[in-house]
Amino acid sequence: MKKRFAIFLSCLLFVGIQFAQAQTVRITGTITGSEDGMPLPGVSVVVKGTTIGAASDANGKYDLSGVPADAQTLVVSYLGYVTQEIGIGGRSEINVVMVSDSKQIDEVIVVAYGTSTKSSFTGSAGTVKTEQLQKRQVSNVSNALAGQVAGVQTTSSSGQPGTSATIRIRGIGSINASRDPLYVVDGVPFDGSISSLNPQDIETMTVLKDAAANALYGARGANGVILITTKKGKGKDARIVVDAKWGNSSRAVPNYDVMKDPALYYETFYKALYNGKVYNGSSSADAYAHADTALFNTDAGGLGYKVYTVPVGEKFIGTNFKLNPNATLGYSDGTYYYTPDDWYDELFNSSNLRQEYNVSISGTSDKINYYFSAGYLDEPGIVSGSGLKRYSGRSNVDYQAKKWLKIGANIGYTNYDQKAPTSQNTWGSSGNLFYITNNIAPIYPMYVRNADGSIKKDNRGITVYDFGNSTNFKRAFMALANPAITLKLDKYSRIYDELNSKWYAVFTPIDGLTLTTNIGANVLNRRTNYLYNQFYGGNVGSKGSVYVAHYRQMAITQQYMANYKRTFADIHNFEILAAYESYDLKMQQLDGTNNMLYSPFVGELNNAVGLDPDVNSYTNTYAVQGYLARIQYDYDGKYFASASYRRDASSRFHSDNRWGNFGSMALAWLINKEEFLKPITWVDMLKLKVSYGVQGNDDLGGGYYYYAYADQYEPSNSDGQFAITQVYKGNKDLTWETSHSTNIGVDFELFKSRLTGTVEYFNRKTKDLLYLQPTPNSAGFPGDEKPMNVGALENKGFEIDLNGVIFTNGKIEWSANLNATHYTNEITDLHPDVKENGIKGSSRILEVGGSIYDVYMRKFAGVSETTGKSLYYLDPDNGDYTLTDDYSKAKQARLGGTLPDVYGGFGTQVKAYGFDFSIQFSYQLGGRLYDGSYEALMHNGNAAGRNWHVDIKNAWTPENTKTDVPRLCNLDDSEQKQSSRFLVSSNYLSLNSIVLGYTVPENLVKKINISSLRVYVAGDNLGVLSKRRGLDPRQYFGGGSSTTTGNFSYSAMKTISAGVTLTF
Amino acid sequence: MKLNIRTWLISISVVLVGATGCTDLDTYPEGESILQDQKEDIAKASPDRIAADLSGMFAYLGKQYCVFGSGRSRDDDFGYPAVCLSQDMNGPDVFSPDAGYNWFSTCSEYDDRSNTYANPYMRWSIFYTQAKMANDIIKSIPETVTDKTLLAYKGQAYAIRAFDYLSIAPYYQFKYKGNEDKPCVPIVTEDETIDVTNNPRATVRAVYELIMSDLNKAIALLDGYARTSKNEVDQKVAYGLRARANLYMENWLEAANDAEKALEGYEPASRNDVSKPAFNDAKASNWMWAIIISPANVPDAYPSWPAKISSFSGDSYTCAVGMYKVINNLLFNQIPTSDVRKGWWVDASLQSPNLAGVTWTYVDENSATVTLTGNEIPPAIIPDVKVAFLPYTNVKFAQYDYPENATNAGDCV
Repeated sequence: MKKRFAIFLSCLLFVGIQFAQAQTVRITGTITGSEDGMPLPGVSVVVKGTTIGAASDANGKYDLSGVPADAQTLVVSYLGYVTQEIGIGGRSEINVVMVSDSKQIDEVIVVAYGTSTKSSFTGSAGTVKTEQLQKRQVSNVSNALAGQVAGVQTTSSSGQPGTSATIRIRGIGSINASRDPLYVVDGVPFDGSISSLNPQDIETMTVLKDAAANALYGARGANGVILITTKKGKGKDARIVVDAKWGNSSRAVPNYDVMKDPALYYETFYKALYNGKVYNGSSSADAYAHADTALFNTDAGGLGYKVYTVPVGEKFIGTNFKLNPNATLGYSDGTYYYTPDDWYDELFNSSNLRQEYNVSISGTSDKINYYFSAGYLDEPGIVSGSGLKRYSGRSNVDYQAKKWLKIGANIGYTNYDQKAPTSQNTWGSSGNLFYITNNIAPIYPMYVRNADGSIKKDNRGITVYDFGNSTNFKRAFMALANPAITLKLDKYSRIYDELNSKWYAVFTPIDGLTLTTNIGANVLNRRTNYLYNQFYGGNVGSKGSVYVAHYRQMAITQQYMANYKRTFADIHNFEILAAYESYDLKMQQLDGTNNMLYSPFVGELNNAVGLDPDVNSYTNTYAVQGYLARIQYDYDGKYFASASYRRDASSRFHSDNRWGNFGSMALAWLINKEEFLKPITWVDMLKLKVSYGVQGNDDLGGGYYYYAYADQYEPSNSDGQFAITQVYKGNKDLTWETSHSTNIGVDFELFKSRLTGTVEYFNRKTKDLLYLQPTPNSAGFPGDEKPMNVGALENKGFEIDLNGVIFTNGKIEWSANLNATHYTNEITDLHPDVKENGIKGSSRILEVGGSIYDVYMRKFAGVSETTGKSLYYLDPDNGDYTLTDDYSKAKQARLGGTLPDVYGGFGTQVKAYGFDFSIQFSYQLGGRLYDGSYEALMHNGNAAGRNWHVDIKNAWTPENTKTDVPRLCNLDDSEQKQSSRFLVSSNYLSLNSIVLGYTVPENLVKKINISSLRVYVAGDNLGVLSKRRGLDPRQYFGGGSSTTTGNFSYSAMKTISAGVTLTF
Repeated sequence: MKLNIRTWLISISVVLVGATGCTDLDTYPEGESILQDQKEDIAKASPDRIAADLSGMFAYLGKQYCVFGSGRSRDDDFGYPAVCLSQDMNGPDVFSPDAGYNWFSTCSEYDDRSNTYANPYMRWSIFYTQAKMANDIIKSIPETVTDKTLLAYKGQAYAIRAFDYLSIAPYYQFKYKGNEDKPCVPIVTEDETIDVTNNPRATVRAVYELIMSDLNKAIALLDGYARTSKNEVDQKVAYGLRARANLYMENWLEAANDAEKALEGYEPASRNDVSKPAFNDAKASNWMWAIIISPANVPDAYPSWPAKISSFSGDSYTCAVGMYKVINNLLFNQIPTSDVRKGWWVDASLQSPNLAGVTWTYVDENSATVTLTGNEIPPAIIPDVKVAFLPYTNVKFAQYDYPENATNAGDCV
């Protein structure tokens, strides 16, 4: 479309300037585009220093006649492509390959309450474009931000389809209040679920990082703003794009290297039992006798299951601690046959089909701009009963009703069914497959087998799984659970209907003035049905149970804006914006649970006849309103200044304290426009920018915190009477948390825009933190805390973002991108009560001078060479480095910050002969993480039935004394003994995507009336390199504890797909 | 120009329409909680709700998630019964196996002496939270009030505050006699000048002085007050609490006198009453004071005392995984067979005469209805519901509608 439009333009420009001249030559050639090798029409070819020029025709051919014989250079230019100067060198035929210049297309960027151009923008922002988004196969677009924008740190705690990533922009902005950025979709603040946005409908995601960029979102912009802009029509002709892809999802991060050999597990455990006796004074003979009898006896600390057959009268494990060589795997007690199963393979290796189809039709006419789309996604999860099915439709239309009036609406409707079994991210849960497959010893069967070895079925035809008490053996680990079957029989469904809409009218009563009314109406309805089966598992006793919930969320945004733009004396450009905005959010919940299900298969309340149903309903309302103004000025496109002011009120605060004042000031200098830089030809653009501003945060959380200022009570029934108890301690004085941001940066484009980038320094001080001050328990406040504004935080650091075309010759283009961010997070002030000593927890400390992710645990001092016990330093914080093997005597110590020193992403793209290839990575360096799962897997033998990491082979023995793995001894308590021993590097390198595509030459597809056909294969989230196989540091920012960090959450998913994109 | 005027009119009217739909910033919760000023409005509209603060103070002790809140939903956060169970598990008489579902192993292993654990936090916090409610009631009824009912409310608040300090003082210092001047626990009263953030431990003597003074006031204020529910404190309960305080202080004679006054009019349970699983109903003649825990107070099955202590629950880890609460056989063997209490536990061969009238019906995996009677119950395995009792498992306590009932409600002494 663009090409044809350009033909029209070039005709206008060049008709009439093709005069014949004497002493001339003729030059012809073909101009093609580098992406697809297709002829480019409408390209301007001009002889340098003259007015002689021509434009290429529909076949990309140009014909320059009348070129002076002494002409040296041709200038070939085309909007959106890099301008080239080509030496003529006496040639009469010169073919040119044009390289697209994405930077030029991107001149316009989306900013708060409008758009700006890249050169005049005074703030800091990073943009992810549709091309980058389409390389990722993510159901939730927040996951596509990983590694893409400097300053943006992402973690994905769960790979469950549809789950949002956690985003931190330029550090961790608060202690207790929200640290999440504000999402704004097409200018409307968005509290719906990001999963309801089809990534295919998104034109750009712009991350506003500094105060100049986002202070106008004063009320809620303190942690950055992510602007999502959906697509619009382009070009006169309707453009129809059909995209289909099919693929497979599997587990991206494996288990730890845990023991897989049942014999090795038995031998190791036997040794732990034996050692438990000899290390505590027993004779060797007694110790063997004890280990022999205790090995299979769960009441004596043993494993329960015997899965080897040993000849009658022979020992199971010999005095050499080796399994009897005559033992054979598999054991029958006459009723059941026991043989271990590979739980990992059984649970995660099922193949599945991921399918995604998208169609869009878009275009423009004189008065209408339209974009319609429909999409379908079926993304199965990697465990039974999990997945996402999404139907989405969007209609973005605007209409120029009158010369002075444009109206429009962006309406997106999404219906999706997210099946997300509960507990898959819960540490220690017997329902969590990810936890269990790491932790279950390799000796335990998953199925109950008949004596003949066949897997048992019950009389309903259901395969019988071993719950640890289903046979004549008792399982020591995770008694009474087998999530493999409960996940198959239980049903977890959440069906969402989301309507995200913006309705607008733009009036232009006089030139330069626009009055805009935007009404955003976002509705989310979510119906949850959980059915807990009555055949197996925890709900047999209650005869099945059901949880049904309906949640409705309605957000209304009203914006009334006046914008006036005027230029005085050709060089003074002014733009002034004044606006009123309000936001109302209503959240309504209705839920019920009951048990005794008549039909075992229907998860609705009327099917549940239990006598004590539990029914709840409640409504919460949140509102903000504000007035805002902005003035922008530039002098001749060279010096820029902007200032903004916003006054906001939040319903979370008492009426005396609810108004806050926010704003920003910014300056920019486009240095390349100065005369003194003109001679330096390799500098295409150089801009220096500085900004300072103040933003607010009111978000302490949901529930009671929507009315954070007020004391709150909850009624109940006590023996038939009304009873009321206080549930929340409010604080009338509570007001805005404010963040004060400074940004100093340089944007540059060098070497004919082949190298572009940004380098920035930022400093964000958050003051008057919304802070839940721990109150002494003896004060008796509910929750033992009180909200107040106290304390301060500082996040400061550097960002760099580089994009470069490394090589281009017209046929081949190779480009690369890199970004890196370094920041430090420091608590600079706390409440006077805790300022001196900090706030100490069982694994972390918050104190002035430290970060939010400072670890506070005992300091591990290695393993005693003489006893094999773990050693700890007694009290390092007070200089006492005496060694002790008594964990309870050792004091917790400051082990420092754990946030990474640097994080970011990099990637490279190659386009050649119709092929396109891209690869994208993200990384993090210099941080640390507590590996709680590894800690559990390195137990001393006291956790019977829990698997071991293979590193346990290096445990201390009298012969192996130089080791950092303590002795095996089932009486040594290693349960949740947090120490620096398990604090490991959180460095990672993540391969986020690889895409290889091929665009079929146009002349081949034209015959079948297709304007473009591309086929591709794409791999998403292909793997991560980390300190330990199985550890995924992308799930956490840092720190952690025995039960909160490690490898026990729904693993990231790896997706490999093949697809085809057709454009008509 | 005409065009412009019309455009202006339309533009302005749109803005005005919008502005009239202006946002109300005074938002209120509906259902999830009640704000302080809403509460005051409610009290004006329905004056009987004033007593709700008093009931709330009593109900708190049996409220699920009363300490850590439903957000953290710990299964051991079920109020005073959890405190009692913790204290039992600290002693040598009661124990329970631990297969990962024993929420009180910290007490059996004395890990509850470490201040980073949830269990001691809960056992400390619950009483100060209730004392704060008592302080608020005391503060809200000034000296000048003469209304009998209000004064009785105040008397109950004093008694509750005394109960709270009586419940913690013995656990943070050795016994009263001989240790009177050692530090005990911080005192927080209705006195607003107390700085709770800088409030050192008071001496044992000072704590007991407060307890005694509160109970004396309570006894005076509750004279003639007839309570409406056994969850309230009347004068006899206050005497009972003072008897306990005197016991702790080793004032034996005073303790006996107070106990006698407390017991006046109560009939002890008969041998028959306690020769079956019981101890779940405040209506029993021998119950003087109770936390009333109705099914409505137990929306979740696991955080409840029956789920942890009763051996008859239809939905608990105690039964399903066998975390039964078991008596020490050294103690069991010392109970003479003539003592009715011997039947409160099954013996080494899983028998107890107290099970005679108990039946437990369930549907097995072959869809057949099975009824267990009496001593068939202890060894029986009901898949996913109960495992066999251990030797010496208690059959003393039962939830409402035992066995098999999955709601896990029951009053607590």
